[in-house]
Amino acid sequence: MNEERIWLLLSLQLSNEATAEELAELQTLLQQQPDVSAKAALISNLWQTDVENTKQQNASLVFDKHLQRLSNQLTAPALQFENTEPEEINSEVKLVPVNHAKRRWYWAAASVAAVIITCLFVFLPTDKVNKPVKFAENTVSTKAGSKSKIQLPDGTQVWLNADSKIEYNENFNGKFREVKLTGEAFFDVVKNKEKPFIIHTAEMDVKVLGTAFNVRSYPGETTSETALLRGSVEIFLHKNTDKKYILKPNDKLVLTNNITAIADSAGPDDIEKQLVKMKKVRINKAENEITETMWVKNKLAFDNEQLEKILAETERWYDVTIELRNEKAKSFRFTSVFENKPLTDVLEALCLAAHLHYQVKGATVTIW
Amino acid sequence: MLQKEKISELQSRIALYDDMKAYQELYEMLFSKLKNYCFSYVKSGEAAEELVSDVFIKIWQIRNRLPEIENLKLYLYTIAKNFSLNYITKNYKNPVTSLEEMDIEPVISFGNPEELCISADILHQIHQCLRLLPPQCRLIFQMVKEDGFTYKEVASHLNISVLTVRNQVFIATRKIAEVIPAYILSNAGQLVKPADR
Repeated sequence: MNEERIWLLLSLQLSNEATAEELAELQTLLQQQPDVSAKAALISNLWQTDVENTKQQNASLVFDKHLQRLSNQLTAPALQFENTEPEEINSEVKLVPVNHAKRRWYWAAASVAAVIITCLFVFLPTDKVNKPVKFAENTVSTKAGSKSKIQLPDGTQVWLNADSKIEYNENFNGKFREVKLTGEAFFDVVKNKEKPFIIHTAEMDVKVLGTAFNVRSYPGETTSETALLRGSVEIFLHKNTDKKYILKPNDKLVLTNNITAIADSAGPDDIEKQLVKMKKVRINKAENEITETMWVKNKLAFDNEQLEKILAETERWYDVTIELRNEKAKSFRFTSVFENKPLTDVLEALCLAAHLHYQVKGATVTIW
Repeated sequence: MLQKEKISELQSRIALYDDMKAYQELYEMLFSKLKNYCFSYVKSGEAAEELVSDVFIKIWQIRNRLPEIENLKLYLYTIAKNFSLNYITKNYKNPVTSLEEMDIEPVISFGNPEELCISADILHQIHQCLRLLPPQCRLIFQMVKEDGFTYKEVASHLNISVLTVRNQVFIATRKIAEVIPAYILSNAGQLVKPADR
């Protein structure tokens, strides 16, 4: 029984869990039993020989290998290139010299497999390209809470706002440079009269020659907008393809997406008028900038906007869910600019101005 | 203790400055231990290596949130455990879900016999007896001895009580003691007499 106690105390000592009293007790017990004490010394030695020094040398080699895997994984967190072919990258992985022949065989098999898979990817889709899968070539999307800037093959710059997606053809072969947009983006299109640039959205197509403008078409929003900064664009509505709208600098076209929302109001002419509204872009005087495109500069801007809309935008901007428990407050209007501010600053400001309260719980915000 | 401070220093360097050097240092510091830990579950060196790499990819992806993590080392082991269990579920035909039923291969090293003044045979026997311990006991012993976790950390990692950890480490220690023959050379090289029982 005495020996049992020794092993318990020893296990505590070696795990660094023993109290001072326990250490002292162990000491006395071991002095009484020198034979056990020798065993104990051996166990201590066994325990404390560490492997630390044995495997350290290949750690840096292994880290190189890890970096290869890491770089394959990292497609800049905000961007998700859905159509890249990881197999192709894999086949270029620098082989780390390994002694075992078995390992080499493993890598050889892996690279052969990678080549085969790459071939499958490269050759199979060519049959399909001729069919109407026009836009499946390249997709860049942003998550809620992040933005990104991309350059298209022709040099056109695109700033993609949160929770948006743009699809385009790899080399813009064909008569037009065509992209498909869901969400909001600001385009600075490179001039090319031979090849007009066309943006397809769910509700309208925007045709341009060379210009800078903002297109907004989020699913779930009641309107789609196009705001022009310079140059000129033509807009074709999917609902009425005969007619085109031409925008001049600082014009903005607002299109109501859901026709049923205003259907009963009057005759067809009225519907058209209500459906499409021509406005001017709004200039924020304090910043001397256009509100519609301030998001490009990471400024969350509102101009006399209803709280309901502001919160929807804030949700997308910060990737949170906001619940507004105050019916009256929905129609409050605000004008404000937040530049690179944390979510709490925005909520604080809105709630202070409207005498509301808010609570943040993880990714959910409640306002009342 | 020293390692703990080093890890938290590396942790904040990675989180604040995207410091690749710190990331590498952390990787090299914990690689072999984490690999052994994963190996206990998956029993394949290559798979274990990839799992460790996956764990660190995860860490790099969430590096902005690292400051929120109190005990990074334990956190790494938790991810490693989850990844290993996922790996087993995916790749083995009859995955077992409870730790008690799982066959865990202990990766516990004792250095070489010459340094310890014991025969290779005894060392072999010690390894054998550890292999005969129940899986959870082996894993606990490994985490305490090899990875230097405190009883409290092991307890929270495996969702068991501190007392259980204490008992299991004791059992493992006693088992080792039982295997060591009565006649052994003590450290000083003197022959120790067997106890008269």
